[in-house]
Amino acid sequence: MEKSQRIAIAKEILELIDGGQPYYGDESWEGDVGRFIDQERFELEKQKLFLERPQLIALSADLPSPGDYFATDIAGKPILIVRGKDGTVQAFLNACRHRGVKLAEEGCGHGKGFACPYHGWTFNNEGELISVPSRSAFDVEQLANRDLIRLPTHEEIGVIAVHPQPDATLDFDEFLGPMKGVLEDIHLEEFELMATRREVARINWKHAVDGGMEAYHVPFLHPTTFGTDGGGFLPHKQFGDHHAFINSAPEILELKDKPESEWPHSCHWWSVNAIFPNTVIGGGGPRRGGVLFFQRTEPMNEAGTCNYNFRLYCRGTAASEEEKASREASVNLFLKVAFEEDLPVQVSSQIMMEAGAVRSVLFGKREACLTGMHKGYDEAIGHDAKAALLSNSKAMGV
Amino acid sequence: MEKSQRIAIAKEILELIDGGEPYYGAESWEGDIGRFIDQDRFDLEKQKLFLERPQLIALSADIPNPGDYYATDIAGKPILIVRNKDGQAQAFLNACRHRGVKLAEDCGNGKGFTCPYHGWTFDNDGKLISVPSRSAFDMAQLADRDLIKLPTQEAVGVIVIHPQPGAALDLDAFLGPMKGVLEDMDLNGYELITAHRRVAQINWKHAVDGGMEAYHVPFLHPETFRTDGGGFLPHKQFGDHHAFITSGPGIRELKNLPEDQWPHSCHWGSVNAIFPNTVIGGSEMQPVLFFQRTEPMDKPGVCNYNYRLYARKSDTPEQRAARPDAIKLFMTVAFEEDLPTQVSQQIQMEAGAVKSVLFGKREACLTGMHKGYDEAIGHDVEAALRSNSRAMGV
Repeated sequence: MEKSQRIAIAKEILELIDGGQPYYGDESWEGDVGRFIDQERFELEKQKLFLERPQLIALSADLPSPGDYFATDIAGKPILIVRGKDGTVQAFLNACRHRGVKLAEEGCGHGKGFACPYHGWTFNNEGELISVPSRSAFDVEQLANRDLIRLPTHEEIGVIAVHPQPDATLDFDEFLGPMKGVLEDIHLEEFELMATRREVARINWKHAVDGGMEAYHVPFLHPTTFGTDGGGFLPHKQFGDHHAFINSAPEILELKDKPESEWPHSCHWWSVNAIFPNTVIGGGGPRRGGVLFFQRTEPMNEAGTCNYNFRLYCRGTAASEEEKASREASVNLFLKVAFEEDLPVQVSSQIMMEAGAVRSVLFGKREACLTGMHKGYDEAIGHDAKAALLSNSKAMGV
Repeated sequence: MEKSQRIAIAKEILELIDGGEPYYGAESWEGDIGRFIDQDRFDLEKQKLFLERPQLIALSADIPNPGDYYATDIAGKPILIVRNKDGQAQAFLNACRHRGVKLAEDCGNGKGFTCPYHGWTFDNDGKLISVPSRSAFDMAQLADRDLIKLPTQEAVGVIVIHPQPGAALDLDAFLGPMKGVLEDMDLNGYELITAHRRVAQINWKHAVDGGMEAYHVPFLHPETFRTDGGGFLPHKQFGDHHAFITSGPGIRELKNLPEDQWPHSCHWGSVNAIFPNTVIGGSEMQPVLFFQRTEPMDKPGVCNYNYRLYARKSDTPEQRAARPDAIKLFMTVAFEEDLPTQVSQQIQMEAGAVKSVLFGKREACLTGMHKGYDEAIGHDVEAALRSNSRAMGV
């Protein structure tokens, strides 16, 4: 992004620090619990928020070299992302064109193409059907159009966006809007994948986005891991459909004594970014070994379950054994925070909601990104939060 | 209960002993197995038998002192019972009013509850007393964010809750004549000695059924509960609830005494099924008292099995020394003898190997309870039996 924009945000942070108060958003917002547990809403979300919109589905670092692939999913739709031999990334539906069997299992790999385990049909990294055992058993014209089904894909600034509908148009700049500049400044193309974790989690997919996008909980939930330092001064910023909360390093205080022309481009702040609807990219700043995380919680078949993808990256290769050890320690710290501290309270919240024990949720002014994201969800599916609150209060008898 | 009622039951027992036959109820009853495995019925039961009715959820002995709390559930709905500083027991939904996270697990004592997520704190009356960064919320939004209170009443050593916040709760109407039975057990004279909770692969009703008849005792518990005294057990209905009556050898001596010299207990006690799933058993003959609730979870074949044992506060040092053996005996009977056969039943039923169940005249409490269940959900057992027979081709 323009340096002037970074400077403006840095000044906001400095003002907050001078004022001795964390950032407060405009609004304390009350949300109905149906957004986490209602199956009809859930189905609508899968359609409107996931299957009809572009998705930031991977980082370039997930498949850095020609022949690399990454098999994942968007709301249960199996996606195979492959880097062809000319370095171009393409995404396909991850299903053989003969009888539909999945071609590559979830995760990363490298090869010259994909052979189906069922009847040996083989596709190259460009998705072309290149080998059919007993080819003459099929009509030639039937095989003419049996390449893998290609999805609109765009790679830039170290991220890969895919539209899950084969015939949709994908406008990367329009999708990311001003968030593109924020991501660009992270230089995601410089990162390397360090660790991946994928598990079925007993939460609605939104709980993990919510958990990643506010620091109000940090001193209570992460006192010994993330600690309480630096949790205080985090402006929330909207960038198009997307939201960021801003972290700063102590060095930001030194900027006050320097002319703006000498401020570094980063201005000593970085951000955790929620890319609509469910991608969270955070870290990569000066703290915690520079570890960056990529998180996507894919909706599955029920409102209270998701496929939780959590991936960790570092910038370049470690220069020393010491740096390597420090990176590994940071990776383990992130995994512990995400799966041993954050996830259990999210599961608790989900179960309480399903059990009818929760009338509504509140997102206070220190949870402004959540309010922003949830308003975006509601708008995209045409949901009236106020009406839903009223009807749930009546149903609970309170 | 009135002593005259206790005397009347004691006389029934003495007659049975004289006749040399155990008690037989009026009816041998056939029940469809859908009641244990049908998901639609199960969901209806959760609503009609549990969430829309009062529940005897705990004993006063679970939270004897101010500041004590007990976190449990009713059909999966998380309940937090707390005794406040005035000694009053209150129940709340066990969920933080900010984002819904569970506030407390199991039993404990404290001044209040702090949510692990963002540190919101509630006192023992459920009042929201501390919100970090309070000014980040609108005052009006926080005004109404105390814990959601559930109708609660405590009497005769039991705690009764209605799981719907706005519902009316009348403990006397709920317990009916069972209140007198429980009162005579002197539940306030007991203290909790062990609490066990596990997920069990059974429909919740199997555990109630298992607790409410002694027909199985000589076969399933020959080494533990043995066969003595298991033979003469009148089943009695008390309102929506049922009891089977146990007596000690002392009852035979009453025959030689004038009734005004009979003790109030008349040397009988009871195991009580409080509608729908609470089983409380104990008597002057038993060193421990048990409280059992099997909470339905998400599927008909799984429940959350709560089993809690209590002993008399007045126990002598010798009786206290014998408590571990008594605990071991009750735990063995419940979880190594009863539960495996209940699991077997459940699996057989789910496997399509069972056409129906029979509750004979020596299983009269079961018939009574099941008829109550069927009535509350509007289930026609005859029709269900016929349709299942057709489905099984038998």
